[in-house]
Amino acid sequence: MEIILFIITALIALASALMVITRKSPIASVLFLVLTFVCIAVLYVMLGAQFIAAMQIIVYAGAIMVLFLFVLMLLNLRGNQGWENISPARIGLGFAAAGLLLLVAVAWLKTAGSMEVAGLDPEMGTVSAFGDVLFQRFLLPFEIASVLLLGAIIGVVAMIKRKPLAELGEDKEGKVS
Amino acid sequence: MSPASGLNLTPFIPELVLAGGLLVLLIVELIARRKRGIVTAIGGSILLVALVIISLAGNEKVGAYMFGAVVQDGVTLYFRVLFALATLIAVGIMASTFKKEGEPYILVLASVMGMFLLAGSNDLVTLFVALEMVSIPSYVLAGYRRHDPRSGEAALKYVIYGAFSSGLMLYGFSLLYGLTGATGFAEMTEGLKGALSGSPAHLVGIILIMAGIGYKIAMVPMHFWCPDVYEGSPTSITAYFSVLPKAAGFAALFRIAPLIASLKPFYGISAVGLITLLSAMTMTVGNLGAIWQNSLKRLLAYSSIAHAGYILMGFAVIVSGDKPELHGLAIQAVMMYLVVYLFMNLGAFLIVDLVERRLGGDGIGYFKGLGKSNPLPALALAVFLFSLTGLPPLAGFIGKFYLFAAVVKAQMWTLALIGIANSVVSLFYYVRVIRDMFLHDPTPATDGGIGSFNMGKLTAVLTLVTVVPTVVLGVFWNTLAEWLKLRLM
Repeated sequence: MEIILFIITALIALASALMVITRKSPIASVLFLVLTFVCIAVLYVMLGAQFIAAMQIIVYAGAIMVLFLFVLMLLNLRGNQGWENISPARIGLGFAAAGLLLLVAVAWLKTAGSMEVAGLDPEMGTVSAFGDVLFQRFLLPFEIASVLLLGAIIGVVAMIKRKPLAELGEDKEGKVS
Repeated sequence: MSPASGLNLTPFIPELVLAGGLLVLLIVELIARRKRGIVTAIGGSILLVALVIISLAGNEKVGAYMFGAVVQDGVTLYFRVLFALATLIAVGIMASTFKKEGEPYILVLASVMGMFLLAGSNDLVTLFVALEMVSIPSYVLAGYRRHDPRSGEAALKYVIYGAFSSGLMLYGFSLLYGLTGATGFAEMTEGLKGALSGSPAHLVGIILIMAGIGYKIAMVPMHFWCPDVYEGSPTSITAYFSVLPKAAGFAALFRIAPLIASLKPFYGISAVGLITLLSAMTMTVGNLGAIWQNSLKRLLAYSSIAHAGYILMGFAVIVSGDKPELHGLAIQAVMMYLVVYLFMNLGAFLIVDLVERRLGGDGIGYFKGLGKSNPLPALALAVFLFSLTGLPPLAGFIGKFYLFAAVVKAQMWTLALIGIANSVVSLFYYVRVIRDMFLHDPTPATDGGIGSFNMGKLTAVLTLVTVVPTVVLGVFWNTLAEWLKLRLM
């Protein structure tokens, strides 16, 4: 039962991922991306990672995609950048890279069976287990992330603030002094 | 989990002071109306001096604390002092450019906070958060000259490469986590010692992590962003980029080194072989690239790539790890080199920034005849460039001497030979600049008819602050070497 569900979800995820990069309209691409994210969230649930699945929906499919849509609508992009603008050499390189990736993936899958991986707690993905780890073991990185966000906010304000070209004025001052 | 877990905040005081100071500065910056930049720069400098003192005073080595997320040992202490000191000089260099705005200083301090955390990181999660804390303010700083398209290009390249390499690194982290089921470095190293070591997942994980850290230290083949970002960013910011995020990358590499060292040879790829190859490639590409540059900023960018290669030589010895005394020697050499590199590289960028502010550009043409029109800056730049080459009796020689000594004692002859050949090549492009400065006459075509210019008090003081250690450490290096040795005990 589970395997059938997995195959269906995985196929939808792959198909919509393919649609993301082949649609001419950016809006359609974003909507297919949302579908991909939802499918991946389903896969997370099947792995027992409930919290990650919820985050996937709330953060990625929700917040980030809305942001994408806003930006696209504000920029008013028309989907006129088609395949014809990409040189054949690039397409060739792309396929070469994809082929190499396939090779690595096949090699990987062949050795994967013999590889031991660490046994993980099946309860690990639940919200309570996640909270336990987040507020004990990883308390410091979690709290420190607030300083990271503060730095990012200051950065954004510094970038968008309207101001005269201060640097140029100082060059002149420097020469006079 | 380590015994020293729990909420022990005492060793964390420098970081707390920094975070508190950052908030105070943010408010001060808003209150100081007209002289924002100057006030923030002074405030930031006071904070950094306090941090140097606190870091030096915090001599106790407590091991892992805060549930094992961070560790305090000699290396943490050393890097805290190094970061605070280097940032202090970098803030001084920036103060000549950013007089009316305080944000650049606050961004620099926010990224120093990340570096402090990185120096003590004991866990993959802490390491990643800290690395991003170093990177994100740097992206903004690169693009700070918003009206200059080159600055925008620099910021964009920095962000895209940064995000890409962070992604690679996270994939590497996830592979190693999947193998060991742990994120603490000690547990992971223990877990990787057994049958898992040398599995393809281990090798790929290490390579991906090296790609992420290699981006920070501008290691070949992750170096492509470096010359463009250094060229496009405001020069005083470039000075900061060329030393601090790079040193932060090396701090991260120190913490990751046991994971790399635990890699058993896989189809002939060993940990030592991997780092040796990266080191040789990095210094060769850096030095060969520098030869063709006509912009001093680009030249110094390639030279900083080459220097990352030299420092990686020390890491090749560190990850070889069969002889403990060799291990200590290599760590000492790397720590020594970073101190020396701090002074000579910040000094070189200081003079380039001065010339760019006064004469209008950083092309090699602007430096022609500088020795005749402005002997003091030219002389200082000559000292820095000779030191970067590694000529005695300057500090650069001592730094290189320690590194080569470690490599030779580890009997890595090929690497030592490549390193020496590279030093010879580097002589060529450094001396070309010095020759242009002293053997040419200044013409209106090169300096725009400005001729002699005033250095400015701040720049003069900073030149002194960087020249003196570059010369003195070349003669009296023993005190520093002993101090570093004590940190390692």
